[in-house]
Amino acid sequence: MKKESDFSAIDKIENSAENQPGDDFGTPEERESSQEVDFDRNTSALKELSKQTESQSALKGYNGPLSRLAKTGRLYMGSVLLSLVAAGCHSKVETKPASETTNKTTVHARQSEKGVSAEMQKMIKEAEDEVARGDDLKIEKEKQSKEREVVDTQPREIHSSVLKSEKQSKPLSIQESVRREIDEKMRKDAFNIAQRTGRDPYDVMRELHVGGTETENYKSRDSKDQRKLNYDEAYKDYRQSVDARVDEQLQKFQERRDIAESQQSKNMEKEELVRAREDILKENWQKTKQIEDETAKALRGYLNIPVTEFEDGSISLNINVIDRKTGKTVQKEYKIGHENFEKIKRFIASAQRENPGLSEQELQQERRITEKVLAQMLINIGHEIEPKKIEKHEE
Amino acid sequence: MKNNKIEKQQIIDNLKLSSLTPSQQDKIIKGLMDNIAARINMAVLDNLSSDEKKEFFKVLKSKKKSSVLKFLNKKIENFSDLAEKISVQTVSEFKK
Repeated sequence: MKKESDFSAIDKIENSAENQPGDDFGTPEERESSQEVDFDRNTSALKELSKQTESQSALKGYNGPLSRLAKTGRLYMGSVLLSLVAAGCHSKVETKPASETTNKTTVHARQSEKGVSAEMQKMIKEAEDEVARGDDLKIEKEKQSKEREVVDTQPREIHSSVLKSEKQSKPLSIQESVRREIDEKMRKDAFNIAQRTGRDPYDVMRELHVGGTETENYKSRDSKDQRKLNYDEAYKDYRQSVDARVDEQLQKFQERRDIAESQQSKNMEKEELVRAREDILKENWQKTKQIEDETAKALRGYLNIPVTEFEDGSISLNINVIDRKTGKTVQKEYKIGHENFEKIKRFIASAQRENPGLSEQELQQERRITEKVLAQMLINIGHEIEPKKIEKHEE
Repeated sequence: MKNNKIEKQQIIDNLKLSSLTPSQQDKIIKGLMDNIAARINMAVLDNLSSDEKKEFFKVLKSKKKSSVLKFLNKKIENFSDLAEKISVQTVSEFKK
């Protein structure tokens, strides 16, 4: 029984080990309990640590929960933090503040720290290099790739008008600039090929597989061809409308010129007429002057020539005048009413009276003037008596 | 990744966390990392002037780790040593 019990005891242990694989740290319940205790202990230590960190933060005036400070720290320390914890673990100064024990760290700890340091330095170096280099390397690689593509295929181009559709709302990176520059060159080349061969440039681009996103866009942009056709049509219409407007303007201009020429011709005719009229007037004036001269001559003998006086006070007298119609000198009899005759007499008397002290020559000159005025007065106020009447009157 | 595993195991061994479940271990290590991160951040703020702090927050906003580290390395002498010193101190306080 005893043996059996020993064996059975061993079996029990083995069975127990089989049922609870992994370790010899007691039953699951025991281990669970031990885990809980350890975890609680570590959790409280962590809580205490966090409390200290928060109190330090409060003392320094960095208000805010630990998580916030930690989050900010993790932003730039993220991947190094684990190494830092490891370094802290290897240090043999666990029981003393780090400030006092930094110099007393063991070789092992120092080596570990050096590892961390090296990692951090490496990260910083990489960061610096990355910032310094920027994207130069990537750009250069991409540029070389593009250039190879240009050499391998044919020069390609996408029409520059396409670029206009690309809204450049933000500044382009160097990489993007280079890409666009290359694309632009390729587009130009494709268009040159298209011009030389008389083919559609977009077809050429598709065939040449002009690189970049643009090409992909073009491949799926059959509507672009249609748009181009529409554009051509619109441009044609526009040209036609412009031509029509130009023709219309030219026609109007011609019409205006014709009118101006016609007006000029009319003006010239008018001028001719005016000149002719002036000539006539001049001639008339000369004739009138001649008439006046003749009348004056006739009147020169007014004081001597017989004047027939009538009972009503009017007079009649014969004056040689030039006929306006025929231009011949004829003797005409003029009858002047009483009132007008009185006026004439007063005029003559006045003329004689006002010039009493004049010399003979001056008197004659004055007399001629008087005669001229008188002649004009007679012509204006006198009534020409028809020859028949005169004849009857004489009879 | 491999390094991380080794480091994590070292931490577990050193802090005697092997009795804990992986999840519990992770919780404790994460808590330690948070404390170290917070303390380093405080030390950084201690070492910067008010203008530099403003600049620091601007760089932080860019969320570019490389830029932040470059900035700190430029403004704080031996920044990596400072970070290590704080780590050692924090872990030692935890072990107390």
